[in-house]
Amino acid sequence: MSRGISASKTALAAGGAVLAISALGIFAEDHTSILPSPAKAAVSVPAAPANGNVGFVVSSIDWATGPDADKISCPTGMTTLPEPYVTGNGGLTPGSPEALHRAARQKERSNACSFPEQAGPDPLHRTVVGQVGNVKGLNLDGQDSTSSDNSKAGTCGHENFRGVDGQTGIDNQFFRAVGCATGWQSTGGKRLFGQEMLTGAWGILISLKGVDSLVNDNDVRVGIYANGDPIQLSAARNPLDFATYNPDQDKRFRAETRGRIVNGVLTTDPVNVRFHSVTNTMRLERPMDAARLRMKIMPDGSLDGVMAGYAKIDEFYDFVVGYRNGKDEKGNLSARRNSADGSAGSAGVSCNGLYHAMKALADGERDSKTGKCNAISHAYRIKAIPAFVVEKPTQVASTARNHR
Amino acid sequence: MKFLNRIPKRHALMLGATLMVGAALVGIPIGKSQFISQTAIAQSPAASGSRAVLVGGPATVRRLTESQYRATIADIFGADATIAGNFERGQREKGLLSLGTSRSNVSASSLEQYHVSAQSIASYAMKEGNRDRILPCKPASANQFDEACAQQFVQKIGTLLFRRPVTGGETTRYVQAARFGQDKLGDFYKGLQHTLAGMLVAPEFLMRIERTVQGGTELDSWSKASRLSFLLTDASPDSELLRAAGAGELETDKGLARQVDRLMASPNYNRAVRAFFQDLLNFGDFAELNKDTTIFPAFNNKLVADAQEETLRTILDLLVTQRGDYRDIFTTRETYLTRSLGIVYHMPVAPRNDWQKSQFPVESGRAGILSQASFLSLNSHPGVSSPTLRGKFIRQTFMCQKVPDPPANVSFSKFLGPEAVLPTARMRLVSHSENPVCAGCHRMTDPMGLTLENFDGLGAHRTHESGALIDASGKIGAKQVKDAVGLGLALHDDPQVPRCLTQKIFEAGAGYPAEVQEAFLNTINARFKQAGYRLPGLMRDLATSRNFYATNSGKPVTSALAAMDKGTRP
Repeated sequence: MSRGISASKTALAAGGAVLAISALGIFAEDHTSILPSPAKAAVSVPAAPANGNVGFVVSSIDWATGPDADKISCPTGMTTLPEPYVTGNGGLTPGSPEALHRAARQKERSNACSFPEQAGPDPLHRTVVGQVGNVKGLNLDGQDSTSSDNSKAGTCGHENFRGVDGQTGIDNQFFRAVGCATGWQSTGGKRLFGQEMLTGAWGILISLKGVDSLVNDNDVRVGIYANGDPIQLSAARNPLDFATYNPDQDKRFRAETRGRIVNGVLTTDPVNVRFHSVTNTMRLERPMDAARLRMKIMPDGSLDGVMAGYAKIDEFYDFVVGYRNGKDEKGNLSARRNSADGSAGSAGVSCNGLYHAMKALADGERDSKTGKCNAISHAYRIKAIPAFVVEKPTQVASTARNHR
Repeated sequence: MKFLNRIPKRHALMLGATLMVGAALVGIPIGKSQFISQTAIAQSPAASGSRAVLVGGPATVRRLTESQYRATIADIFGADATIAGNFERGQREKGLLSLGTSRSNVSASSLEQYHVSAQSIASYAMKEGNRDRILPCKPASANQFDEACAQQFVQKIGTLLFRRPVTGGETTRYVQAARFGQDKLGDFYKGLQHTLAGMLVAPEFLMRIERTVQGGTELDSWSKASRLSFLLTDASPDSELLRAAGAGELETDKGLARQVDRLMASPNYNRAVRAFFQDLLNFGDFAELNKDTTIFPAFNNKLVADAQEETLRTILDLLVTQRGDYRDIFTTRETYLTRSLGIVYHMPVAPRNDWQKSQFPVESGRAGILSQASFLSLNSHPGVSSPTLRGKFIRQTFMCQKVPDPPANVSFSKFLGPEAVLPTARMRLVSHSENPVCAGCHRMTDPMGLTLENFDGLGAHRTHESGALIDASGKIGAKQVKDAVGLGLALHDDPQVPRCLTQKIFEAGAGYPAEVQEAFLNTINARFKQAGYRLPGLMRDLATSRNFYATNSGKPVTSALAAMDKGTRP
């Protein structure tokens, strides 16, 4: 059963024909995306199934961080961790960033990841500067803002990026926070968490209901769920089309919203989502507030696009490097939480450095009293393949099942 | 046979031995009229009122199939008895392993594996916690040899294993072996384990050795019991059947019918039907099935197991549970799915680890077991489908037609060579059939197999091959069909199909080619038709008929005729 166009289309459309129409060349809500402009392009997607239900399992996921650092985006160089390379006094100049970094880590070494706020900012942490082009993400706040522009309620002033096709207003402050760290470059270790998903540890399901057409439909019901089952793979460890999955039945891991399909591109209204995440055997949670999908429906029936939104700094920090609430398979706090320092180091950042960078760059969920933002925009690059999403009250069977 | 008698003491020496088991199949004249049970004859104009000839075949020596071995061990010692050895691949005769067992021999390596299994089974049987259930007695002490108990054990287990009472000489030898084992190993149960291992490699167990009476015209009661039991339970006779055989009850139609009905009412009847169709559908070849996983990424061991089980569940549900029309196995859209199969069929399957009874949607183009993954994947090449293999299997298995093997020097360049640019199987086969040497057979197989071309080499639905639209039309006899559904309907309506099943079941049960029984099978098949093609009815008719057990060579059987005329058969 090759994942050919024919097979996928046939099943997705429940035997229906493939539609090929000329697009009108517009987006209803033209938030910037990674997707090429479909203007004047032919849209070839499977026909909608008779029952209007279409399901997907996320088959690949990656941070939407990039392009890789260069002298323009990271003019003062990469975030560094000099400590492993310096012995003794190492000739450090008192008061130099290296010395301050070391002092902070020596002072709070064991607690820098558990209490990053106490360790203070890392002077060696570098962030992306300027507008930078070809950044993946969405315009979440609806504005093309600069650092001085914080007029819109709920946001804090920040400089937006430009998107793949030169779109403006891309909100992806997490990329700004980690774009100068080795772990988030295109070959970085922090880009491999999608492989962890393929172990069956966790996963994401997307369901569309009430679909009349996969080309244009102004109202579809969209479900975004944590997958309750391990993803099904081939012997070559590629996800298989048309497997059946049960969504997690825990309300915290289920989100439903509305969406629309315009010229074969699905966009959804903001909704808070939450997924499982497993790192170093620790069960963690991967939340995203006001998450939106912008996914192109491909001719073979798969989805390709972006999920973007915000996450509260502390929650975000916890699953990215902090692991403060990491639990073991029995639901107890995991002894592996002490791997946070090593994990951050291998990604080229310090816990406190990343934490404070994200605090400083936070652009969402502004506290009206303090005027400070508590959440940071970020995005995932996602591909999803056809699947059957079947609601069945059942236990979670993936590794994350004992998370709670 | 002296060699056989020494087995308890010397079974280890048998490892290098090869035992030819093929009983010579004697050519038997075909009688014009047949003896069948009275019920059958009453509705059989061909036989009614005529002086019937009871036609039979040879008494056979047949090696247990793997499924028969496993079922027998499970029945005697428990379902979780350990069978540690591997089984040699059986010889297929006329499409049936159960028929090929009459001609197969036992290689040295196979005997070694039987020995491994015997050791593991004997160890299991004498394990604390199991032996009290299996032994008919308890020794006074485990440290002292209890001859009476050993005798009881040998007689009880030996009778079940050898499918007849153990002779006095055998009892003596196996009891001696048990004593020898205890002497060497210091434990009564170890001694029994030793002798049990010997019994389990004895030809009397591994081979179904049939014996005749009445001057060679009929099987003896024990052999009848075996033939009956393997037909209806796929295992050796149980204690009750052996008791009935010993009491002569199988020699009366009433007694025979009582045992037939008892066995068919037991859960083991399902096992027999499963085993028959596993054999008929050649599922043994799944052990060597390989697919190119770059082309068929969903292929894995789980799918292989589930595909077989899907088909067997479909058949059992339709034919046994629902007592449906046999021909509906070619048209039913009902099936059983797991999530592995759902990936191939593009169908949702709610249970995570269980089976879900489902129905293929009309638009799936699937109908019957020939559109299920088991048949489609097994009768395909590793990377592509094969209308030829599919058509050949259908003709041979479901229509009992002979399709010659391809010549040794056939050229496959149209398929495999650099000039192989034809996108669809139909185009390739048309081109291939330009060779007159090939055309004859391909005309038999391809028009049938091409109707299944909407299913790839794994069984997934497709509309195109290599970008070209698939034409799944075909021809079955004079009947034009447009796709797999049409093929199923054509087979459903073809009278050869149920007649072929009648023949296959007879051959699997009796162990010899059924040509000599043609008239008898026609009569049985007429009853099969009249009863709406219900499989249990067909099997009951076979099991209660005299022909099924007859071993004469076509001479009139006066006594049997007299019995029939007197109406003593039910």
